[in-house]
Amino acid sequence: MDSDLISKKELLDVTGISYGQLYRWKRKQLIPEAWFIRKSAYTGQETFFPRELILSRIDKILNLKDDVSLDELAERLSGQMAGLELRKRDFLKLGIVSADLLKRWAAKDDDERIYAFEEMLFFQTAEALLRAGTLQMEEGGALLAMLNEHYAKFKGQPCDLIVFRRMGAASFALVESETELYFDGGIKAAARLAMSGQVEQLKGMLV
Amino acid sequence: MVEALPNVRLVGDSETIGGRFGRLRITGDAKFAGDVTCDLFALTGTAQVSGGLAMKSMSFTGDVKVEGPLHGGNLKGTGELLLKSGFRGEELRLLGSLTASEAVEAERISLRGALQSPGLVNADELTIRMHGPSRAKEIAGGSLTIRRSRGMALKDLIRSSHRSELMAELIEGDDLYIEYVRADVVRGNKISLGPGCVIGRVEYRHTIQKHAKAKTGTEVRV
Repeated sequence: MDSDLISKKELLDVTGISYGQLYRWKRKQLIPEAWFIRKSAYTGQETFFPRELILSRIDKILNLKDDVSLDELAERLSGQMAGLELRKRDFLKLGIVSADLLKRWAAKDDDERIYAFEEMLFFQTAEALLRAGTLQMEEGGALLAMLNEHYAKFKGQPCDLIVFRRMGAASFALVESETELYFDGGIKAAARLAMSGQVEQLKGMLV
Repeated sequence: MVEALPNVRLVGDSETIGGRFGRLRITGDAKFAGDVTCDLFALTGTAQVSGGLAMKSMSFTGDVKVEGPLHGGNLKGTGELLLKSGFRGEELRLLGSLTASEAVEAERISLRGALQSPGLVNADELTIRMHGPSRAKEIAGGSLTIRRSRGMALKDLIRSSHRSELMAELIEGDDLYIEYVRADVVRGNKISLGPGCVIGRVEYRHTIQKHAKAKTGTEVRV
């Protein structure tokens, strides 16, 4: 069994929510359709969810649902996060991306420059890769340029970022999630990162 | 800018492009070539929308066919509702036949008649009173009640090839009462199976009740 997935049964047990709640949140689009993954099991079709994503999402819903209405919550959690933007200096204050990195990657942006959610997402993704040691400081610019150019083309569809190296030189690619990719022997895939996971993380830091 | 949307009344045969309306009242036969957005959609007769339909409230007597998604608030109808896409809204009350190609999702669904849906039917509170053969891929939600209308027993005796029962792959909810249902899997907290149920596998968390005329393959407490 894929350990990244959690079955619906296990999910209800772990979180203590009911079928009714789960489906209500699905109706209210608090839980994206794409997270309902159908797989055949010995008992017939079963539904699975991406474990990390759904657990953190349900945790968030349970924590917030007493304070805000479900519709409001849906707006906050929806993929686009429309309207969520910050000035560069406010973004810096949150400490999601260190000042050094922003100075290097976004030196030309004024402090008052307003970053859209996606732009913050790209910085945060680059920072995460850097911390994990899969990306080097000087490669960040190329990664950001690639994300800026291509990420929007997925229109919120789940996609993965792939970092791979040939003879040590890094290249980047965005592919639809669940896509299988095979490289020739000279290429070493350094990392594959689900962008939806990054979106969740960043939302967690911002909301 | 808030613009006042026009209230429109269509009488007789009409064919329009669609658009945005306030109150849209139709008597007769209406065709819309594109998307329709309105506060109220009230119809007596036949309507066909080639695009999507977004409304705050809708009531109809007659036939409605919508090619695109149907979104909105409360829908109350008598007759036939044919959706080439799906429905998402607050409430759906229908006396007649509901056919949808995609998911039907509402807080409350109450249907007296027949249901045909190859997708998910999802409601917090769902009541189906079958007046004819029905089929759905999945029915899921909070509290689900599926019954066969009285009088159908007699009709089924006469026409045994069209039995008024519901066929589904999965029925799942917190509190279930179902009768005359054939399903591969039924899952729930409190499950009550009425007469005429033929269920492959039942998974329950708290309780199960079974009518003498209900058949199950395996029953598991999870």
